[in-house]
Amino acid sequence: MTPQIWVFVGYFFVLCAIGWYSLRATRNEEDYWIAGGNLGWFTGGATMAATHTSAGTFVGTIGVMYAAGWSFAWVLLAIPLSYWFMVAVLAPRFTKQKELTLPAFMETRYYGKGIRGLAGGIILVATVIYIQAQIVAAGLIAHTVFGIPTAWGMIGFTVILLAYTVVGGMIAVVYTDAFQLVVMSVGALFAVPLALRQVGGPGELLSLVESAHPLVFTWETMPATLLLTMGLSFFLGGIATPEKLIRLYAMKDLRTIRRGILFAIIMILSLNMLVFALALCAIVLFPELPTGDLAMPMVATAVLPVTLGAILLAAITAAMMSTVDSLLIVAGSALSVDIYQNLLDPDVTPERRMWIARVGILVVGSVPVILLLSGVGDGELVQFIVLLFTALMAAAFVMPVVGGVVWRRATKEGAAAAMVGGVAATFIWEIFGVASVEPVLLGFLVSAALFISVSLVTEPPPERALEPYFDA
Amino acid sequence: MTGQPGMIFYGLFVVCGAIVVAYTLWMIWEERR
Repeated sequence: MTPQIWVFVGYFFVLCAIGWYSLRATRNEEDYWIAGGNLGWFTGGATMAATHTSAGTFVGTIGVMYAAGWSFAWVLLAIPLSYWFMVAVLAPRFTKQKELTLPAFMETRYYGKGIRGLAGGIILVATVIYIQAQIVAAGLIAHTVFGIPTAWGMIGFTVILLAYTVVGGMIAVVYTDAFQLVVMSVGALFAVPLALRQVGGPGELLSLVESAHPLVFTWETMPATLLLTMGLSFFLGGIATPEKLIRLYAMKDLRTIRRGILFAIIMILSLNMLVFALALCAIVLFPELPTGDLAMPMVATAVLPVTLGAILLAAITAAMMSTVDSLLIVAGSALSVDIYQNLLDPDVTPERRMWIARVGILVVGSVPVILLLSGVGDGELVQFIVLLFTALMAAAFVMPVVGGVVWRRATKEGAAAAMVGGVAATFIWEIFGVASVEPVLLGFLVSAALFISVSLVTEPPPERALEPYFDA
Repeated sequence: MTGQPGMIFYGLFVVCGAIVVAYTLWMIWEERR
């Protein structure tokens, strides 16, 4: 076996071992969906940072910076600000009334099972399609590393992912995420000095990069509207995506959340800075690439020695897996808890709930790869949906979640209108709008307008819905 | 080509550092309150 294969075999073995340990640690539904709600700052922060960092960071960010230069890096600032907002505004209310899922929050705050089903449905469809896109990327990496057909790569990635997520639930996700964060950091920490040495050091890099790409350190490469709306998309998408909110329930208390988020912010900023450095090196070393998305694979295969290159590719895989496993938990819980148990079979016994949970994850994890193998959702459609995912989540959930905990007058009807209208407006802008403004802007504005206006013209919410989140 | 990328480059590090420091001070202040 080649060193590359050894690196990947060892890495997958650790993931499966964590899955096996987590099976024994999972005793009830709370353990399975929110890791018992008892995570400390380190595991909580690590899983937040690992979930945040996806193939988008390792391949997409490098790709955009390769083409557009340093001005894009400033969009990064939206990320710590969104986490700060989450901790300061949402976490104090979320920790008062713990739930198992985001749609369950919707039921408590908006006093209805229907709205919970609606939220579950939006999450389910959006995440399944997003997972599909990540599986396509994983298939391409497997093809690069092992030389196997892309389809086998996609199946292998899904099988390993499901092996630990189905058996170990959120506990497995959290501990594998901590491990994946280590793999990502090691990959990036080894890659940057070696790439810098090829270029001739940091000083050389800065002068060479300007010769290769004269506009790299100017504001001229991206329109200001695009930069600002991208920042808005990162900020809003960061606040109310279900896979992040659920981690507020998973951490022990408010104090732990504050510390965990500080750790996550430091890790996310550092990883992004390392990735930015790799992007600058790629501009100097490979100035003629046809697309920026090739920059990272080129660094991994042409700059680094074989074993270190494999560790960097493992880091990219780690970034994808740690995001997809968290989305599987969110989509699986939407299917088993919020749709099946909530709407179809409310009297199910606790023992059967655990089985339904595992079947739910198995279903939502298998559907994307089955669809892909039968030729549905491949190619351009997938790229289009990846970019749309954050915008959709922001348009659907920011107003109902944030408005729900800061505004007493917010009603069920307002929240439902905001979700449906926000999703519809995002799609409409994506299809008919101008490319220099991200679709999140219209989606969010429509969602906010509907949320406020519909809430004001409908019956005020009952006291029992407000009591968990507001002081009397 | 001076090799001096200026504020667009160094400024980002300064602002990121400032956010982390500000968050930490806020966290300490919240816990003492």
